[in-house]
Amino acid sequence: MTAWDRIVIVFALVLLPWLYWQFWQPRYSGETARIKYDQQLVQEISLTKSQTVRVKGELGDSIFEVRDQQVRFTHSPCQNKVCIHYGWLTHSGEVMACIPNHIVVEVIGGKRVYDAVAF
Amino acid sequence: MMPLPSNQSPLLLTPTRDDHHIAWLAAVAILIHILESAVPVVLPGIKPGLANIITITALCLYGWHTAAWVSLLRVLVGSVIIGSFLSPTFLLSLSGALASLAILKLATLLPGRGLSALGYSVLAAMAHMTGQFLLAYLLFIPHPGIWRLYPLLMTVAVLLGIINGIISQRLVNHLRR
Repeated sequence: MTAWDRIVIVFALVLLPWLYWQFWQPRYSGETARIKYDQQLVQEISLTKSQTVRVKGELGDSIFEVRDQQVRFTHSPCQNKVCIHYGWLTHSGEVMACIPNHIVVEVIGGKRVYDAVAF
Repeated sequence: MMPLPSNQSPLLLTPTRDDHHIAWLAAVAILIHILESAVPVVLPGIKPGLANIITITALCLYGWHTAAWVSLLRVLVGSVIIGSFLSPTFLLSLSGALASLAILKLATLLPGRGLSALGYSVLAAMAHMTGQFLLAYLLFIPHPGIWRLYPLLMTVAVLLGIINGIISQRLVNHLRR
């Protein structure tokens, strides 16, 4: 083992904890759900107020329920209902889809950079 | 055997010593690559990467040029034999090989005694994983979510890099004798 070997090992041992710190930050609840049909944005819904949303897809209407900063599929015209069984989405960056109906939902936003903002 | 037409002289290629080294090492690496592809994957994205032992050994014994040939021949021929040529698996394999060759090139430029097989192996393993992640992110899964796997797979890469490095060092010592 040479001196450079030791440097490489130390570098690796410092890098690994940093990677965990960098990539495993707690996830924040998202604020908005983006619903897309055939890659086209159809609707942006706020997760902060409870509501039911209906979106037209390839086979028919997909219906979403929004409650407690979460969103889920409640009705779908597809056969296997994989989308409904997927359950709730809440974290920013999470994605679910109803492939037969060509609908994709993604939760965005909500990562708080400031503790408070005063005007 | 058909006699050659008189106006054509047979093409003679004289293999150099380097060619012999590359051919032997690449053959061993390809064999390991194929055997390893038969081992079931325990966790997605994790493979022991035993064929990289040969790349590192080639680097320590004969230099970067030979190591690059061995590594790229292994990726190319291995994928043709397994049947994954130009498939996503092949692209991931190639991106990993290119990334680790790039970092190994830089590592050979270090002053002093430089690195031994252990250091080379750890660096190559980390570069390999990073190259694959970049390609997977850019081409296959362009969603930031996949980076959550990165620390975990890098930990495994470092561990396997150390193990492969130790094996490679023993192989180098053995072959030098």
